[in-house]
Amino acid sequence: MTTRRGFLAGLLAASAVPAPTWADAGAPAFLTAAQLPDGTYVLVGLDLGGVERFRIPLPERGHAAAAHPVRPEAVAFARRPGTFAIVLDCRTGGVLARLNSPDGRHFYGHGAFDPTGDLLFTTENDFERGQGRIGIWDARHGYARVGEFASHGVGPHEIRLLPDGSLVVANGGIDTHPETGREKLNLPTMRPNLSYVDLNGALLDQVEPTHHHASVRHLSVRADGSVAIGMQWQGAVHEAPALTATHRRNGPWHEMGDGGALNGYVGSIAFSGDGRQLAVTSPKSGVVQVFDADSGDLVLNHAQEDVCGVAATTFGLIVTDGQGDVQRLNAPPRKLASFDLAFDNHLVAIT
Amino acid sequence: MKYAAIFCLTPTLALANPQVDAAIDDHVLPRLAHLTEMTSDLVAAGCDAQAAWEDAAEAWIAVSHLRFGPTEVDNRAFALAFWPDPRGTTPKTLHGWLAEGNLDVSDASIAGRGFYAMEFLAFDEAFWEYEATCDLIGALAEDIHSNAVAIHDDWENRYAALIQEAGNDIYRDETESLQELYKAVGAGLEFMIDQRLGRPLGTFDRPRPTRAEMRRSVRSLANIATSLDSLTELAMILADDEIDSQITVFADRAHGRIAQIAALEGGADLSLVAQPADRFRVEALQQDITDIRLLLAEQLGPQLGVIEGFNSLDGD
Repeated sequence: MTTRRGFLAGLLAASAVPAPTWADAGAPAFLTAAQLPDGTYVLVGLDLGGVERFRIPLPERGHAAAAHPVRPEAVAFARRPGTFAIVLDCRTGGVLARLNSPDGRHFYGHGAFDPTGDLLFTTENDFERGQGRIGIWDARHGYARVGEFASHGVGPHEIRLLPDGSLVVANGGIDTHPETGREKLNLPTMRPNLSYVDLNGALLDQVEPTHHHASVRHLSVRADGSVAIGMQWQGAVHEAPALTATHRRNGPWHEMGDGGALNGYVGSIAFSGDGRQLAVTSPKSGVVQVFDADSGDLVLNHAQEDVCGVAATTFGLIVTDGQGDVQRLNAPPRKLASFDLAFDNHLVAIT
Repeated sequence: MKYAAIFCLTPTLALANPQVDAAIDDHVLPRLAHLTEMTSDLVAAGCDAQAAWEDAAEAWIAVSHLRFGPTEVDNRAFALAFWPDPRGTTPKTLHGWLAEGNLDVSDASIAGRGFYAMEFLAFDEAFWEYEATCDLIGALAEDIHSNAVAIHDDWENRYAALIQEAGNDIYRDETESLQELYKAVGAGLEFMIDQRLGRPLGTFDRPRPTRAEMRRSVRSLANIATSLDSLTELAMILADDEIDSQITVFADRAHGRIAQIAALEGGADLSLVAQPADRFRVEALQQDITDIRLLLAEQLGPQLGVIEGFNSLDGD
């Protein structure tokens, strides 16, 4: 029988239980979407050694995920042009919330939290106007939609939080419409850019790549605020310029590498844990290239079929591929683990 | 010794590949030459352009998968074919030009140029009330012809040699030449599946007959037949006899389905996608084309060193 005293004691005890953290979900270091051999999809948590910490079913093919900075919550985005994202409790696999893109919008597959984890920002397409938008969702109140602002370009893809609390957005420049799926509608006139915005959407800086056919897609951010940019070439491969660049707000645009060696395509990009190196993956050419982030010198060219996910570790860099392998890139590259899974595009570090 | 060194520095003579040669000599060049003949007739037809437009459009559909090299210089192919157009930019652009009397099209927005724009002018009465329609048809025909000639000349004078005599910056070896041609077939099949058939099909609950390609001229289904013939022609040049015989089986099945659909009301413009009783035939045709795509991906692709991976195919 519950006494009043017992009830109150229980209440106090409950409130004294610390809020759940990523440690409660097995302390994974990375999130990645993957496909099972039976064709179904999952979100997987991996630790620094490539060991699986959890696996949660997804209703459709995923793309990237956003990890909550504090709580063991992951937002898994459907592949472009998806209209939903689900917020998962990584301890239990339960669905905490579902984000549906508003009418006239679809997601591009990436999102980023603010430093506190209160707000989530998602890249979206206002497809009747062909303009990029950033959706704002309130993680404190069940991920309710609370607003949106311009991405300051067309086709925003990856969005990242900067150390100063502002955001950086890769506007790929490519116009698409859900009616025509992934068909690219404006290649002759596309104008990609990298835009820096504050959390209210005010434009702080914007830079365009050297060639307007270099679609700015993927981003990595270093502790000093440097941004690494991975691009995808929308012309003939033999004409591809450098597709890897670094930039800092109000600073110069530095390019490195040879886009032809990447088959005109960067799938993912990541600074190394110490920030001194920068890795780009190209599943289309089956290589990972690692550059000295400051000099731009190529320091490693590693062949790995269908490689795409890449992320920083405390000791360097780690990559995943479509055959289910997890490799660390420190010389010499070494396989850490092998799964009966096809890892999808992105390996997202939990910070 | 000195002579030997010089000999070694001479570029190695590029070896011709019989499949690449056949693809260029029996598929690409004759079909592009045919396109320029038809676009020349289109210019000659003046305002009474419907029949000439149909012949020229058919010739374009038969080369519309060759989206590399000469078609991509100066946006030539984009200026010939602005489709799909989900926001209806083409009719808006044309109404604007006609209201202003703008006939200087060669530097203007590609949305108002090419075969799809001209179809509106030649087949849609909404464009016949303007004074300038006839002149704009003439201007578009000239622009189409000049782009078609530019593509053909560029192939004949420059690009055919590059792809046939691999060992250059664009095609380092004959495998890369074969891969380029193979990818053109794959992209053409996907365009047929996703756009030419997928757009009008929409979903069962919401079919989209008005999204069919070239429905105003009632060429939607004819384009499928034309494209299928041209793509299987190129695929069979690239493939060995064993794969050829499988392609033939699949293509015959698809052509049989096309003939059945053509005999039905609403078949030629694919508007029967909205009829629950007949819609399945278009879905079955889409599956037939998908089967060809899968056959090539599983059998021809690997022979040519093209492995389509989970991530490498994603394109995101």
